[in-house]
Amino acid sequence: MRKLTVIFLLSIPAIALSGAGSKAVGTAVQERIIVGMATDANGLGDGSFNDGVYAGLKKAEDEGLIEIRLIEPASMTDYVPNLSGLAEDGAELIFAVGFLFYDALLEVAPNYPDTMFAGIDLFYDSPMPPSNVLGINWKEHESGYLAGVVAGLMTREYANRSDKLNDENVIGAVLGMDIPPVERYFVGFTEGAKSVNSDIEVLSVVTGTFTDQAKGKEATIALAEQGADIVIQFAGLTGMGIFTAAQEKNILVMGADVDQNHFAPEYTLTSAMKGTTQATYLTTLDFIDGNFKGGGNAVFGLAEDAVGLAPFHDFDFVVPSEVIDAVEQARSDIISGAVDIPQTRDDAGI
Amino acid sequence: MFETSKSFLVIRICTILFIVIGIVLFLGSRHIGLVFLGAACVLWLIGEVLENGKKHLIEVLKSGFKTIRLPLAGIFLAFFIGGIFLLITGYQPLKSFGAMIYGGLVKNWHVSILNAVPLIFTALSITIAFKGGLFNIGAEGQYYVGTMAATWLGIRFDLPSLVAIPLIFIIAGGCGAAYNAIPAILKVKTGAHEVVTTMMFAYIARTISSLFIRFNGGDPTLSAHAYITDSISESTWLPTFKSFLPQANYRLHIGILIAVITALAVHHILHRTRLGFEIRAVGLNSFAARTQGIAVGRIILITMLLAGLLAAFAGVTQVLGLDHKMFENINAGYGWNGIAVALLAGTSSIAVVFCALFWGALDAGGQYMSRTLQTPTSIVEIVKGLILFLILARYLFRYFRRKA
Repeated sequence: MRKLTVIFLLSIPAIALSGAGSKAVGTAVQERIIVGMATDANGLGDGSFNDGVYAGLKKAEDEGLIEIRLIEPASMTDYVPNLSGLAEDGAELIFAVGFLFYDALLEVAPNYPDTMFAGIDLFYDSPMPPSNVLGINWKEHESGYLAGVVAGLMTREYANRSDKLNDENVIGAVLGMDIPPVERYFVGFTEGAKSVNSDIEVLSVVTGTFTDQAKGKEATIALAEQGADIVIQFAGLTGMGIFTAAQEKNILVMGADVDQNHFAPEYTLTSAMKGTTQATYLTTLDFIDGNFKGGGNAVFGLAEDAVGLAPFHDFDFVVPSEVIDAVEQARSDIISGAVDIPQTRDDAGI
Repeated sequence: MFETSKSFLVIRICTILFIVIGIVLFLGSRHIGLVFLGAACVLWLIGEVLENGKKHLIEVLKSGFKTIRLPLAGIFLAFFIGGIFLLITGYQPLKSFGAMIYGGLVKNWHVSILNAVPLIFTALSITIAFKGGLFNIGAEGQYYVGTMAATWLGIRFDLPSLVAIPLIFIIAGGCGAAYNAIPAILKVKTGAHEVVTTMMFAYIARTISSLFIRFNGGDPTLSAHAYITDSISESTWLPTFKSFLPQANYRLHIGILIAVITALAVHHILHRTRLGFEIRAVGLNSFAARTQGIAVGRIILITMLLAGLLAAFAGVTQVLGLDHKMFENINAGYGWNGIAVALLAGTSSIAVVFCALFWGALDAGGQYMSRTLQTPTSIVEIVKGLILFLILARYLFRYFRRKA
């Protein structure tokens, strides 16, 4: 015991010295705008919103525009103190990631009127948020539409270009819970497919969950057996199941939210992307330029390059240039307003 | 032992009164509260001397020092090892721990206290069971039951606060106790071990809570109401310190007072009543207790019911005081962390309060450290784990010394 105590006491100055030595690091950069980021309880490494937002901030930091203050909570009790703590410690713009921050933002924001808050995936309508809170959302229907154009053309006109495509004019979609963003994705996908292939049949399965891969796989197999040769997923983790199902049924699939090509490169045609990274980056730039306006919601779409299609990767030589031209045409039509995509099934009449 | 002289009683009451006043004032951000706490300490010393004489007091202090010596060494050693981890991974240990202490004790001390409130209750639950020779490992489940009961009642009650809040405490506490009655009866009747049964019951309660949230306003299709119940009615909110001491932090609620009073009550029950004596007797040696004419089965049942009640109180204070609604997947784990706190406190119900505050301060300070210095919060978990390991090593140490 005594020996231990001696070692312990001796090592205190050792640590103290090493601490003093490295003190110079970290104080070099000042004057930069501090941008806070409060993750939800999942923290970084979720492969989704938290990582996406962090990547957007990192991009701005690497350009020397901001300094990131990241905080991952230990539990939901920390949401409010983390937001107010970031504000008190000098963050001028704070990103709160995920819908669980809905109430926390409304509680904290009025206390710090000089700090701006951006809520990722939060949609405020009634009541409208305080003037320093902005809900950030995406036009999922636009990226769904582009994916629909690709699927609609590939399944019939260019079916001979891949052995994984069949003669039937049928495609499918696996949905998670039928929440508004998922509905927008799906309606956009259907409209896109019909715009290039008017008698196409678009099948869908609502699994009712975002976390059950087995259900996603079952749904994909069911769709394939009904003749669908291209299946897209809008189902979060449930959608991971389509990649295993694709290998089993030898069909093509499409990912969602981020480029999911790496899950099954030989079967993944493309992905309908929703760019948290770009939206975060743009919001940060807006803030730096003094254009950040709270009190409502910001919606990011093709025009901001915040949604879109992932590269075709292995399918670069399979997808003909006509399809790529059609996608480009659809993209410019959407941006110019020539094409107006419905956002609900009721509007689309499906 | 059971006789109490009048002057002694007066001093004891004054001590408790001073402690309460001191804590209230301090929590209301008035530092004069510390004077009251100091006075309470002096009063306690006088009380001890009057009751048992000077020699006894010195004995008590000596043994007190002996009991905290090893845990303190363990805590320092844990921080030391944690510091080495930080050093290896390229962070600055002194600066980080400095920020942690500053955040937990100075800057965000109210968060430390908010963190500690549910931990005190769950740790008390585990402590009282431990004294009775039982391991109530499923306090998490009883916590969820208490949370659900409190939310259900809170949404529906439209009564004045003075009626509603005590009623919710009683009913929700009763639900927690009833939930723990099943493992208790299984233990008494069939001998099924409570470690297994209460743990399984914890998972049942946690799973039921998702359903409960759906039935009480949770709607995953709305971002405002995703995995969250409706708010409880405002008359059932626990008063905050801000409502009578305007300087106080607006989130700080009186749950900490309830927790401290509960801790004192548990201490009183365990050490100054017949029931407590019987619980401890059963815990020390149930065969000996039986030969002394104690109904062991009945005591086990009562102990488990009390444990369930206390763990449910944790959920009640959390809902009524802080959240005002129930969340799904809160990731809080107050039941599990309560075990750690109870072990750290060495099954003393007074020490539980301090250990819970310490645990809460570690969390709050860790968040502050991470926020300002970008040191990852996982270091807090490492330090916590090391502390527990070293504290348990204390038991090992003693065990081996006894053997040798």
